[in-house]
Amino acid sequence: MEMLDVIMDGLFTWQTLLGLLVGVLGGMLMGALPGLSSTMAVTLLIPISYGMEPVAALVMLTATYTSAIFGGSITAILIHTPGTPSSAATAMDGYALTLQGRGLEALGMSTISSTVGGIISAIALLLIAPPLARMSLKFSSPEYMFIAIFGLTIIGSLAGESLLHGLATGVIGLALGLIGMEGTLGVSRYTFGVLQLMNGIQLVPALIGLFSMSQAMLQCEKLSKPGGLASGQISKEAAKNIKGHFFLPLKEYPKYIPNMIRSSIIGLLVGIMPGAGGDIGSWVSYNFAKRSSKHPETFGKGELQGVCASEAANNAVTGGALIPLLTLSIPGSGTAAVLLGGLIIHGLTPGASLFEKNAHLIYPILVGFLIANILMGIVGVLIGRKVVKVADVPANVLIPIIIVLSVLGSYAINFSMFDVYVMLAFGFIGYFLRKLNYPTAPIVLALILGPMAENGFQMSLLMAKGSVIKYWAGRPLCWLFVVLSVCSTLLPVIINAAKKKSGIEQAEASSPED
Amino acid sequence: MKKWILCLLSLLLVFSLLTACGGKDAAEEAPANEPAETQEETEAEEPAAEESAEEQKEEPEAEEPAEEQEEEPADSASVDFPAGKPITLIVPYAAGGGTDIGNRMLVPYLEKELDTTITVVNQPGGSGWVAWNELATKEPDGYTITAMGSASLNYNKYNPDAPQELGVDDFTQLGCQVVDYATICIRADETRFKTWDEFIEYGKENELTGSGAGTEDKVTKLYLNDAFGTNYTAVISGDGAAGALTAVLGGHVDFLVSNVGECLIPYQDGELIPLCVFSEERSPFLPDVPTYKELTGDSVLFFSARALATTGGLDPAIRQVLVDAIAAATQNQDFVDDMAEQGLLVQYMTPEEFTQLVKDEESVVLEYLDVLW
Repeated sequence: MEMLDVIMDGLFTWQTLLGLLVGVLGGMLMGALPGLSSTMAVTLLIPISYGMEPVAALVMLTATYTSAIFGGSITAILIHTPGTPSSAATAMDGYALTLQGRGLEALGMSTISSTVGGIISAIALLLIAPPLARMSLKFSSPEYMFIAIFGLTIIGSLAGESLLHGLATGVIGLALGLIGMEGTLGVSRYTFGVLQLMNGIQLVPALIGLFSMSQAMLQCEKLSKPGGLASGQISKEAAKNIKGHFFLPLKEYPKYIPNMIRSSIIGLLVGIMPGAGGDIGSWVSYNFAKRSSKHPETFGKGELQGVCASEAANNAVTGGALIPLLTLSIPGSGTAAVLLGGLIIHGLTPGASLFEKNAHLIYPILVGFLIANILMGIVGVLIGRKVVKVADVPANVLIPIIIVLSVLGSYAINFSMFDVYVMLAFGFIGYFLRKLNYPTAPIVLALILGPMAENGFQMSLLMAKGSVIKYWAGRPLCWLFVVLSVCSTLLPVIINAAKKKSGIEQAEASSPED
Repeated sequence: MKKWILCLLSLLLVFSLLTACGGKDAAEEAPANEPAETQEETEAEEPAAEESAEEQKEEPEAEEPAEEQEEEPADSASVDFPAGKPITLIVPYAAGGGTDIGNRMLVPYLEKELDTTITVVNQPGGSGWVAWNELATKEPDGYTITAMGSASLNYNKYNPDAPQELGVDDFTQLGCQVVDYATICIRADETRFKTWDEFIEYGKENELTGSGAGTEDKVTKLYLNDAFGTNYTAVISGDGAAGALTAVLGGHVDFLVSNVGECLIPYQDGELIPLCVFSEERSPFLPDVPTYKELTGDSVLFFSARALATTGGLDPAIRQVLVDAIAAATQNQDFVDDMAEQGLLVQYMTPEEFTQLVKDEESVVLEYLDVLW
């Protein structure tokens, strides 16, 4: 009971409540804008947090983190411009749903699953952080490598119409991931002496280019054609449907609950690992959701389960990333690394002592984080019906705004024009690929997971002290992901073969949907 | 519909303002909304921060600037340097890292000394060199200063794929705030070796892997292999210091090479045991841990030092103002205490001393250049 008093005292001050509100609203706004990732959102608010009470400051920052991840899904769904890298997986199904006039449904699903994912991770953070942090130590480079490979196996099925197209863009992504200084040996590859390329192709400008910029260019093209779509990117009939439902009928939900919980747990676990953040979590759980679905062919063409998986996972990552940060002083994601700065500046040195010495500060913060996730859901419900109209804004207004935001967003990351050029280059790449019916998502996926797999491989070689195969074989967690990867690759083949046997008509009936 | 367009446009405006606030060109555009923010900050901060200062010495507060000017030779008194104009501090590494935190903690003290606002801008890339090369082309006016790390100066400079022409001398050095020495740590539950001697003996017979976050940690291992004939393999973590720490705590590698600041918390939590510190004298944070010199008689130093600098050829009078302010801010007891909590030893060094330190280390680095990259 004493603890409860402490939590109440810390949490219910004007400053903390204000910080909570600023964090949730500011986080959602910044997350929704392309280029302002959750890391940027937290970085921008850190200087403001200096003057605040520690509890208020940290509640604001953690609320910003989780809300920014959720905010990213709003623009991903409505205008195909993921606000943060974590929402790239959401964009595929979410935008397809918007095109079908089901944008509001997608937003509703994103709101609910983000909130559930966030709450599950916040509870885990509050109650079982130390054992979970211990568990995270079981994962090291070899496991990271196999997790990344498992994530990469989804490329084949992101392809949509042609497997070959998907694999081709996946390879382009892997090749682009090679650019820069190699992690373990420090050898530079394909940098051509350009200093800015030493750190590799930065994910955020590439993502903005591939998704937002190429989207704007495609819209421009449509607009210039006679009889082009004057009102946004959705068709007239779809626009009528936009009023649809935010919430699904209650009896529909049980279908999504297993997926929501599974994705939250995956997100939590990915979040705990250092060097793997929301972007990886959302892809891995998307892969799981697709593999375990009875209709994997609907993924990528507007499947609510896809939105559910990706959004539950990326918000679960936020709490997960805080677990090793607070207990072991090891940040679980890029944003958590920035939060480490915020903690330290307020004298809250992470580590075992944090929960003893500073319990009167840390527990209110953790409960604040939980409340932030709930508040985020409430705000999402309240604004859902309003923001969905963004999808209906005339293209001639929306396109310039997207372009300006894309340029600003990529410049703001490092205050460097170079990133803007990278963004523009990827805009053109994305435009032509999409014109030629090549999917762009595999590039982003490969750009995220390729370096992770390679780094894991290089480190395994060094850590093995001899035969690396033997080293991997001695690690049960590696086996787990090898088995998952093999299943993930072979299952579709087997299922297809089985389908062909059972009747070609059925397969035909289900494929020409889009 | 109009309403929504307006809404979107106002979103855009908010966003550009945010960008501007964080930006280095913020100075001119920001005032419109900055006062609102800073006022809040200072309101909350002032009572706490100034109370103690005022109680102790109410009068000197006002007199200090005048006093300082009297003491200094005429040149620094003759310039009206920051004159209230904002200064930009570039941190050429990602936000949240050690250098970033250290500098952000220094900023409030430095602001007080210079009586102006200082904006921190993170501009990562090329291990610092992207920002430094850009800074080198600017007019040396003192309004843009940068953080400088000895590791980037000495190691990344010699990366054969991106060799850098500029060196420590090509910038106007303004003083060093922190020296974080390297340590070698093992897990607390390690059974194969418990002490330094056992560690070295074991390493002669068996191959051991050690994780580290950067090239500088690799040199430490190469140096040990040379000195003792041990078989240490450097595993440079692609995930930075966090990855290096996880690898050793999880038992995936055998030991860790890191700075005192990075291993202090796990040490205090009983997770790691530092075996040796590569410093001149024992670290005040690890008083029980011997130095490399004590153990071997060989006085080699490995460290990561953080200094401030600006474009070369700065007006000596302005330079003096900055050097004095940084010296005073760095030696402020409150700042020293703040840093000590993070396991960071504030060790003020004059620009000349810092330059010398970097050059001393450079000679060790040059010896290992062919095996390093």
